[in-house]
Amino acid sequence: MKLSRSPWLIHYDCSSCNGCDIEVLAATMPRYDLERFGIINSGDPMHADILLTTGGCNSQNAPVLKQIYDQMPDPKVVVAVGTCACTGGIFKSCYNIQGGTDTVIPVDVYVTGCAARPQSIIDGVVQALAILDKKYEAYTEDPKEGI
Amino acid sequence: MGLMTFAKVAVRNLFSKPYTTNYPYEPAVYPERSRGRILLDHSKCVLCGLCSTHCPTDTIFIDRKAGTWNMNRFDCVQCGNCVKVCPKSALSIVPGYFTPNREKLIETNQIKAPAAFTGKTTEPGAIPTGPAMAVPVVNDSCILCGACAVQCPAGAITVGDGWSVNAEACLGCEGCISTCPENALSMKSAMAPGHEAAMAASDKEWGVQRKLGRRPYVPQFDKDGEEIPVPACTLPDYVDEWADLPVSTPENCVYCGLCSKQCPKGAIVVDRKEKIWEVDNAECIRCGICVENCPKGALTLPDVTMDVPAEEETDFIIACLEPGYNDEFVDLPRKGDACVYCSLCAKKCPAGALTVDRKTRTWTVDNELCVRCGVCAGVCPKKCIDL
Amino acid sequence: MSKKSVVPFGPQHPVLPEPLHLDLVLEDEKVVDVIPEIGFIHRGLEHLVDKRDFKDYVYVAERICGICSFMHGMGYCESIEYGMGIEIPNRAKYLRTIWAEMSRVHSHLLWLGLLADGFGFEALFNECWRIREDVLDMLEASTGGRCIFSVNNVGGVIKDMDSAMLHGFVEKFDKIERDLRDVVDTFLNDYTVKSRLVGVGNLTKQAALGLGACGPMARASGHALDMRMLGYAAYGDLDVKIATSEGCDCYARTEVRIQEIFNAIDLIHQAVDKIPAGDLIVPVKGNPTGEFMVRMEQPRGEACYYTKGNGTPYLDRFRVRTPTFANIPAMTEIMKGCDVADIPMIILTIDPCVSCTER
Repeated sequence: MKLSRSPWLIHYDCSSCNGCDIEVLAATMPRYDLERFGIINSGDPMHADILLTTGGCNSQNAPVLKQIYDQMPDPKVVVAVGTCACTGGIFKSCYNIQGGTDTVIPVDVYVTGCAARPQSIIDGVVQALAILDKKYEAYTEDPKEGI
Repeated sequence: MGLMTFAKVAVRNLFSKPYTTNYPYEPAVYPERSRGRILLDHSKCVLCGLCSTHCPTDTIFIDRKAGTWNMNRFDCVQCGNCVKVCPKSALSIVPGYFTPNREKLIETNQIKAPAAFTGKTTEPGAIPTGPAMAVPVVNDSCILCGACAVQCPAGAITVGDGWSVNAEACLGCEGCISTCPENALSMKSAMAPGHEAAMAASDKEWGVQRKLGRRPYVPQFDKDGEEIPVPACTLPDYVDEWADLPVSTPENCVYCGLCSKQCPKGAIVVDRKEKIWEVDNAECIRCGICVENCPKGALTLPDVTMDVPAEEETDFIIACLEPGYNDEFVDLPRKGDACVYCSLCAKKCPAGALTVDRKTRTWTVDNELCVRCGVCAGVCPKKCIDL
Repeated sequence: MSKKSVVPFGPQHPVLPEPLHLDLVLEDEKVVDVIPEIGFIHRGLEHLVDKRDFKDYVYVAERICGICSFMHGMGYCESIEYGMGIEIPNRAKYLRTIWAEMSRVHSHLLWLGLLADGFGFEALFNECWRIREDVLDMLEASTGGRCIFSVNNVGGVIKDMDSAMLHGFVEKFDKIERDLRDVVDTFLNDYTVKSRLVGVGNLTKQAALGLGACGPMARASGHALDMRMLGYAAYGDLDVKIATSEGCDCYARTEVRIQEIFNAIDLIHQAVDKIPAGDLIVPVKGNPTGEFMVRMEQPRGEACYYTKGNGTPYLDRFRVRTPTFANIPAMTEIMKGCDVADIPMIILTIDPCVSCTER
């Protein structure tokens, strides 16, 4: 049984301008349908396998992001969508931005773009699914080690 | 009050063609103006730094001393400002995004040879190094002449009984490759496997030809469109011993000093502020490296011919004969073991008596023609000719 | 006396893609009070004027928000152009108008989709966004990007749309209009949709003005306020129709926004007919000095752009007053007294763009 056959997604916007969020929603829309791969955009962290983050981190949303990440059950993957989530982007010299998502939680795949195109998001999610499978195998062998 | 008002749309959608693009199974098609990624044309970049100053994300950074143009691929917002401000139109923005990856890539492009090159080895710590994307490796043709070691700005190459390179000091400038007379050197990728695979996959998908080396020689063309060949050293005109030196055309020369840096003998002096360009006749061995590497094509080695009538030529040769040498075989120049078959002696021989073939490693002197003038012994960089 | 409880409506929720925190004070399924907490998206980008040349800052300004991106870039450029006295070419004005109206169409279609998702009608959500993809294709073919366009520069625009492209777009918009009529029919006439929207979130005419509502919030309460009447860009030459309604509730706001889509398509027709030939951009010499402000009609309402220059290439101050910021007090007011199930409707009805508000 492969977990990557039907992963559920949760999307959290840290401090994004909405461009990448709209493109994540557009990836589930009729033209770039992610749902044909079995992916559902759920709103509940406890149902989700993949966390898509957009936008850079600041001190106000860092604890929220950490809490969502902790609530997600293992094994899980994190995909940082958009340039702001990778490195902080055009706002990295702003006083309120600490950096990308990887300043708070470990990131598995980086997807670049401003705003990241739905095709690019699909590619990033497909790469993340391969990583998720490996994590799942390691996890079923040894739940403590394989995270 | 309408019930089932959406039914008409739903039924129509049910019986029409699916609107979904079959994306991962079919390639994506982007419109022409789509802004996906930045491409750099190495041959046009002059490392002016305007793109770096005007980048709103601060993702491009230029290291003039190391001669590199660097960009963090995962930081670019594809705004196109760098493309707009580049004075040489070296940058372009093309459709197609950069492939998602497990790590963030910083791409380094070597545009020019590093600036700290003085022709002598220096301490590695004195030169700012950038991440080398490749290191040289040597094949069996190496003759251990040491030209690459002399050329190396970071002193990374050691040539003694064997050949070795210090991979951490290597700047990846590929200067050694063009210096090697035997074409024994080539670059091997030193990137982390994940980086290289990701860039290769991305480039293959979008058909990008990436050049990670030094800027190649750009051929110059004359008015008729014929390519001007790189002049080789030719017969010196002993009437005017300065006539065969490399010549700089003032209108093209920008006093960048690359020729001075490349010269293995340190024979060229360039002063940017005073706009001085001078070559030292005693030191210059007319090898042509400066001509080949001038980014502006401002140097030429004149094709000097001797227009001396045949009889006078004979007289001239006789005049060169040392008195007292009757045994025509005793005093022929002999080649020592240090010979690298660079063929400078053959080029300089006024009588054309020497034949040197690099590929077959043969060096022959024609007894009939040789005038025992000793020019070959004088010009040999290895000092291996003995009279 | 029933007990009050405080329910946190956290930053991560399925209704909106954006983080917005509301503390809802509930008394038996009726909302008594709302305490919003914003600040998750605050990036502090207005401070970047110290570090970026005023000509390069336009790329930062257009990333204030990904949905209203074009208008932010345009507002910033217009504010500097107005202050420095730069007269941009007429063709650039018309091109900006066409792109602004296309931006309005895509933004309203996005909102209609999210509204449908909010009351659970996913098929309608998909249909609206499917139509929106055609608009995005046109935007990508002309500017290069789907969300962030990067065509505005101080002094004009940097890309052109030739007449073949413009007439192609007009035909596509006609098709979009036909497709939209069916979808609009569902929004306005379907029994289930009306039961969710009619009577929800009433904002009286006096309250709208008193609370400082702007945009469709105010227009749906009967005020004919539209900044396009000021005549910036090419709006002075075009016949702008203002959509109003007297309903004062969520249904009225839906009507107003739908009418605005059709008005926008009509404006695009007019602009394409009247666009003159000419240059696209004029060179900008010198640096801005002094204070300037312009007002613009964003899809969400009235936005004000204030810049202050001091003679150097770096501006002293740049401030944007966005429409969502003005509408939030109206939102908290109309939320009082409604049911918990109506909360998503009311949040969505102001068309919140929290990243604009917090910059």
